[in-house]
Amino acid sequence: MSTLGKILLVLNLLIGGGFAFLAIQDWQGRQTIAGFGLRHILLVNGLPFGDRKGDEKTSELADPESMPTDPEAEIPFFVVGPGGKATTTVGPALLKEYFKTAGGAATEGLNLAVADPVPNQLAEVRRVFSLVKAHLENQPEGAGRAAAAFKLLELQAETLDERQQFQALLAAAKGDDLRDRLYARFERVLKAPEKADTSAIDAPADADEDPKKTEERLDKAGTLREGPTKDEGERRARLAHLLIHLDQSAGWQKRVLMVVGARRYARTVGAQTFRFAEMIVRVRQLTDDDQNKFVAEYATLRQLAIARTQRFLDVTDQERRKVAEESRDADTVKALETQLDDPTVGLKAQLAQVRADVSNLLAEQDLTERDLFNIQRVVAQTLDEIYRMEADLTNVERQRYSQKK
Amino acid sequence: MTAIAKLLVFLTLIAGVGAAVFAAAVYTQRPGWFEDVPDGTAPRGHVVMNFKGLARETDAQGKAGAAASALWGQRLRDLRAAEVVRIERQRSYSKLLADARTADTGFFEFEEDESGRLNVATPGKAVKGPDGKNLSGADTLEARIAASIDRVVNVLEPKIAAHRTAQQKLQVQILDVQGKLTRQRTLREDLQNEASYLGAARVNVSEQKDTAQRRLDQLAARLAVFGIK
Repeated sequence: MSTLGKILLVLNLLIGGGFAFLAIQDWQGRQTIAGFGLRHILLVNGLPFGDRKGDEKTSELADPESMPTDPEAEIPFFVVGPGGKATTTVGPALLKEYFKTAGGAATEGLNLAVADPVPNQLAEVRRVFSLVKAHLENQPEGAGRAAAAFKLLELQAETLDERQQFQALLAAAKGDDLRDRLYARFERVLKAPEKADTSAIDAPADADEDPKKTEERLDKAGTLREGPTKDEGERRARLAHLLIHLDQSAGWQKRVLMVVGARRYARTVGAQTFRFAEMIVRVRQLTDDDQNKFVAEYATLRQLAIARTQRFLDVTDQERRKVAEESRDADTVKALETQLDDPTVGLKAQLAQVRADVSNLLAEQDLTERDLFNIQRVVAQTLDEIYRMEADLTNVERQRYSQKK
Repeated sequence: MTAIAKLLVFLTLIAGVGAAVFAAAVYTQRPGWFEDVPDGTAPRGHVVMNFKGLARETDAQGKAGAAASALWGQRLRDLRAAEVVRIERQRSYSKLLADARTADTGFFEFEEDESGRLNVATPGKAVKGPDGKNLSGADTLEARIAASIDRVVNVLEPKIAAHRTAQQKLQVQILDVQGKLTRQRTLREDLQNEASYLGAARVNVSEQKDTAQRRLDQLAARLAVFGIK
């Protein structure tokens, strides 16, 4: 090889090395730019939902349920970037960097707003669910648990009826019921939606369908329509709703925004704001209904009270008359008792007096009659003596004066 | 030039062309993070995936989120305030209805505010009843009626009935005593008449006795003349 050939060889090798260096620099710069871009996308659209199943044919990995412990691990992370190019994996460092600012001040009792990274939205729900479970299970049963569960559940209500149910359960200190309702919300998000049998909604294949079958089909279709929508979109909306309304603290709201994305966050908060407005209208309507009910009941009671006042007047008048009658009767009884029993002028006293008089008169009469009888006997005896003596005198005189003649 | 040199030149050429193709491919397929899409060219609602577009979207969504969050907080405060108003009014209704049932002054006049709501927190004048006094609660009045009826039925009427029974008994006794008294008075009168008669009879009999005694004495004296004792 000539000297020129050797020089060219060295130059070629140097140029090749420089090219490789520049290529590596470019790749690293592009990775950094892509990382920044990805964080922007995440901020707008949120983390991947976390329900992607693995595919053996395409070697696609399933979304993880939590952060891997290996700092060099490749985390499945499907996010579509510029030009439809998808990011399929990220390193834990990117997520750590993304969540670095997500921590916030601890709320009373339960601190959800931490800077711990999660690989997707469902993983965040799982993380929060385990914290909530631990928090609630540590609360004393009854009022303590009810208060803790209500604090997490209060803002979840989507209708006034639901909100009032929560308030009623809190008032009744039914902590377990409130806890179960909160858990159900988590489970509704975590559980993959089932594919509903929508054949009932479709037009019947048979034009001459049996009326009984038609009725059954329509009932089933009604139930399907009234039941919860089991699609992915609603599941995402429910997830955002659940996370946003667990805690009002600024730190937690920031973390939720980073998890679900600014778009979903704004949409969910807006939807709940609209629901709050509806609830306010309903509460005001109910307040008016309460007033109408009160006015009607008050008017009824007022009419009743007026009628009863009139009746009370009649009854008290009757009572007054009865009192007067009773008083008169009592006076009459006293007068009759006086008439009968008065010790001086009463009939019984008079009777006793007259009886005493009669007894005295009878005694006197007896004495008088005895006396009279004695006198009459003396008179009779005297008369007998007189008659005898007159007879003797007559005889004596007759004897004497007849001898003289 | 040796065969090795020729081979190296050929390899270098291949490598150079390969590097140029690779560089061109990398450049053409670069992500458009820094591409500038003029405003209004992207379809409405479509987020341009570059730093500018994403920053704009982040800013817009952040503002929308902040506005929604502020409104959310305001609505929540309004909702809680509306609930508090309702609860307080329900308490007032309960108290007023309780008064309307049980209080001595049970009913009041209410004034309406601009929204048509009654001012139940500060009731107005008390409603007067047919008796001119403050209208009492309906249940209180019913209790008073019941108490009055109870007094009439369970106190006064039994007393009146007892008085009537006592009157009847006393009247029977009085009639009986009056009958006895009348009979006793008649008896006394008869006895008094009898006593009067007997007194006169006694005088007559005494006179008769005296007369008979005098006659006896007279006859005894006459017989004594004849020597008869």
